[in-house]
Amino acid sequence: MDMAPRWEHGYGFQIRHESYGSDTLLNGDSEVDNPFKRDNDFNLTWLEGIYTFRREVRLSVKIPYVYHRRTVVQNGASVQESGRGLGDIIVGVPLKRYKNDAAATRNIAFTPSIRLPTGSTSGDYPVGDGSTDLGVSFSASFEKADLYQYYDLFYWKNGDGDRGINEGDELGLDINIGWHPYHDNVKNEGVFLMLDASLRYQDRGQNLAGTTGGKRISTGPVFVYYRKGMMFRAEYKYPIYESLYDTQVSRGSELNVGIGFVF
Amino acid sequence: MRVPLVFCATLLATNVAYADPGNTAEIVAEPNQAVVQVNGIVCSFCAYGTEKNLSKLRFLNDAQFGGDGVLVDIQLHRITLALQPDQELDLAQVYNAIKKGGYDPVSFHVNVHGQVQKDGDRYFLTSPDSGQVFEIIGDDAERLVDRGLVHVKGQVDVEHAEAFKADQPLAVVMTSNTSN
Repeated sequence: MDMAPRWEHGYGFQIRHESYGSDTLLNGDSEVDNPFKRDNDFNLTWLEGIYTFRREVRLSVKIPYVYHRRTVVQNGASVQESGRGLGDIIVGVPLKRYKNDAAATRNIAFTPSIRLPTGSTSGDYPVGDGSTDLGVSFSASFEKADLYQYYDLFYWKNGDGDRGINEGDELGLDINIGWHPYHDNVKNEGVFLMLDASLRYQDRGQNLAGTTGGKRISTGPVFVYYRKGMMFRAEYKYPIYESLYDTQVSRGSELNVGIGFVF
Repeated sequence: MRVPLVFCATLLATNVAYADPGNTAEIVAEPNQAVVQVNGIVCSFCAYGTEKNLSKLRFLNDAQFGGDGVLVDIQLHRITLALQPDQELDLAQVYNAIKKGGYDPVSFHVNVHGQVQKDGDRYFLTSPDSGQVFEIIGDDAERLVDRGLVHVKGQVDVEHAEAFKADQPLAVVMTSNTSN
């Protein structure tokens, strides 16, 4: 799972598609009328790479390609805006400490990250915000042959962007609890079923469409299939609680599908 | 927010206190196999690099175990290696491949085949196929001398495996033996 590639000079890449969106308008945590049919439809395709110098030190790069669309209100009328292009690239250095027990393995990790302003800030719905952002994550992972647990607490300090875009700082907690119902030792093939829970808080901020930020808790199932050095992952998350500053379109439910390879 | 955090703290505390002794069933290597008990090997996707490292070793029989001579068993936390009988086994290379893969070998188990001879107060088994020499350690070792070809099952100490040099005999602590 998050422990691959833990071998020296191991590397891997993943292509992952993330999509979310909604036409539900929230004021705080209350749904309100949406006469102008404001909505948001967000798609990212990530190319993610990782290199393991030794099991304690890795380098990760995440390159997003963004294509998104939204309906906003301008001068009392609904207006469609969209944008597409290379987004803001994230570079991280996961520093891990492992402990191997007789029937389990666990690790804790500290990951400093930087999000570079590689996404364009032009257009009515820019794919980047023009800011350099700094992130830090503390994670813990615990795995037995039939059970997997992962906890990741992270914080992003978002810098001031271009054109008045100032996304608020973000605090998040991700939890994965997984069960390993099937594994074939000879084929090196198996399945994980997991429950993901995500908690997010983002400070009040601003983008070209108005206020950003709020709180959100979402959860949903994760399906993982692996065979040798290939892993397929599909994840669906549904918001069980959302409270936004001012009036904003909900983030909605999220779908993540990815396939990765390690070497 | 409080309920999920309490839930996480409870699970983490459970993990910290967790001390599963692992599978303690007796490990027996079959002829032309070596078995390594490995701490932490619970996920084969995570152990893919270890398997890849091991599969490059020239003394493995890659006609077995799915085509690479390596079987990772995540339920028993063991790696079984299919060996070519005419090649010398180098456990230092096995040890290093597993360590570089991110895991900790804790015991090595072999099943060696050959004639036992006494040299001073030590006993040595020479494989007729590979010519490799093993030192046999155990109270019953003397009984194997001049009995022709015998199979000796035994364990190799981790420190010895790590420091093993190809021109030295591999010391095997005998657990059982059979005549050919």
